[in-house]
Amino acid sequence: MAGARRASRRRYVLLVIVLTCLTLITLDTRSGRTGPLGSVGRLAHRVMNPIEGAVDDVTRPIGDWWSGLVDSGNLKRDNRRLEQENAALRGKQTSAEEAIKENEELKKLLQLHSLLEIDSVNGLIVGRDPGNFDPTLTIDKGSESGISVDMPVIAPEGIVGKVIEVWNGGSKIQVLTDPQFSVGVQTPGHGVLAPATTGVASGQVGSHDLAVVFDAGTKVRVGDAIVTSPQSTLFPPGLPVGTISSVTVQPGATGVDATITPYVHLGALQYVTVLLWPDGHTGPVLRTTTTTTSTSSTSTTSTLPGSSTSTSTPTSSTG
Amino acid sequence: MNRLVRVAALAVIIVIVQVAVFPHLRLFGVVPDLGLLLALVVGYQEGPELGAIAGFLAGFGYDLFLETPIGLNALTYAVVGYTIGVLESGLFRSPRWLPSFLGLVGGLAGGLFFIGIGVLAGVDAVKGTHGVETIALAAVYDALLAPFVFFLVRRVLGTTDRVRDSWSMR
Repeated sequence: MAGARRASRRRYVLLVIVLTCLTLITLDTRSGRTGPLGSVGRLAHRVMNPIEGAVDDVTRPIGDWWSGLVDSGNLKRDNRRLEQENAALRGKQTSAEEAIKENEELKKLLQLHSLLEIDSVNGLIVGRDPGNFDPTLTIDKGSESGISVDMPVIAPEGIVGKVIEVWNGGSKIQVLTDPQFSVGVQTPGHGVLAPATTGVASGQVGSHDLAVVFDAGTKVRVGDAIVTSPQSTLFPPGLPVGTISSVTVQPGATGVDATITPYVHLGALQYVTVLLWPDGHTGPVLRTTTTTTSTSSTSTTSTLPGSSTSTSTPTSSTG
Repeated sequence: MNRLVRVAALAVIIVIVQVAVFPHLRLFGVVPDLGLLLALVVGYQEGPELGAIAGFLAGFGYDLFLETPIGLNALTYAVVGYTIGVLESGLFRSPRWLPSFLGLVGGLAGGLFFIGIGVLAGVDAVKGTHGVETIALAAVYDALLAPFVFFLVRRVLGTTDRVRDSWSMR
């Protein structure tokens, strides 16, 4: 009798838990992270952020050792490849600097808004990919720094992703390899007969490359440098995305399938830059934002790499 | 009640370790499911009721940090904890390799359940062979860590080592 009652209670507990979970899944799927569940999640992130940061400081060397242990075969090969790339890049640097100067002059002449005028916030990555199915990064800067949802995130190598969740003291970034992520991209063009073409690149399930479909007849080659397109509402135009790694003409020549290998190596990132560039904004964001570096109490009002950075103590901000 | 509080504390610790530590300790590119291990160990040691509760608490806590729908891991872990608790009563003997075996089988079964519910909930990332591969690799990682979670749960809950007891009875 007692055994039957206990079994009945067990089933009742399971039923309550299953119904609760199904309700949570339904609520979260329908209302997204804007509802009350989102608030609970942001609160959890706020509590966890300092712990993640502290653990990151301790475990990063261990994690590096661990990845070196389980991935040592690739390290030597990567090192040789990087040394070769480094030598090639040193050669290109000089000409790039000249091109940047020329570009600046031309932009002034045309009165175009430069990317360098967009205010930005540098954030330290304190958490990454907590699960197996959602490639995300968590940084230590949030709403207090002026960051909001959908702002683009970049690294010196190229685009990283976009902000999908913000709380006071941190933000979550959806990386560009996420299947839910998409960005407008543009080919470099090869002369008058093969002009630059735009398309929308998206992350793929189980791959570190982006997939993009260009219009039929698009001339694109393996190795072409891909940048964000002027039609992109999410990212300012001209930001480096990656290089074309494969090109396949669709059957019947209805389009051109291509894959893009991103420039940015997500696993090696330690800092990222959030552009204070709201979704759909067509001009520079004239806002000054205060950020605090993780290693000192000094506040820095920063712009993109390559532009000047002013430092002030104590913190200051203007509207 | 005391056991429930201890299980809740264990769930909090497990979630913190899962979110803050294991992203740095990936094996084959995947992280283990510590919450699932907690659920199956508590289910095995304490019975289906507490196993389901442990799974729900650990899964819900983990869900708060993921982009998959909140409740998905909570449901998966709770069902695994309950099922192991029910199956345990039918086990004739418990050999020493049982923790790792439970970690592997529980990881696989829980992972497939997660994929099934995830597909129904419209989670694209879990679809296809990539999802199954990830689950299989995570289950191997779970199998490696299961003995440690068994040890932790026994220490915190103060329960007897059922695996060792049944071994010595043989």
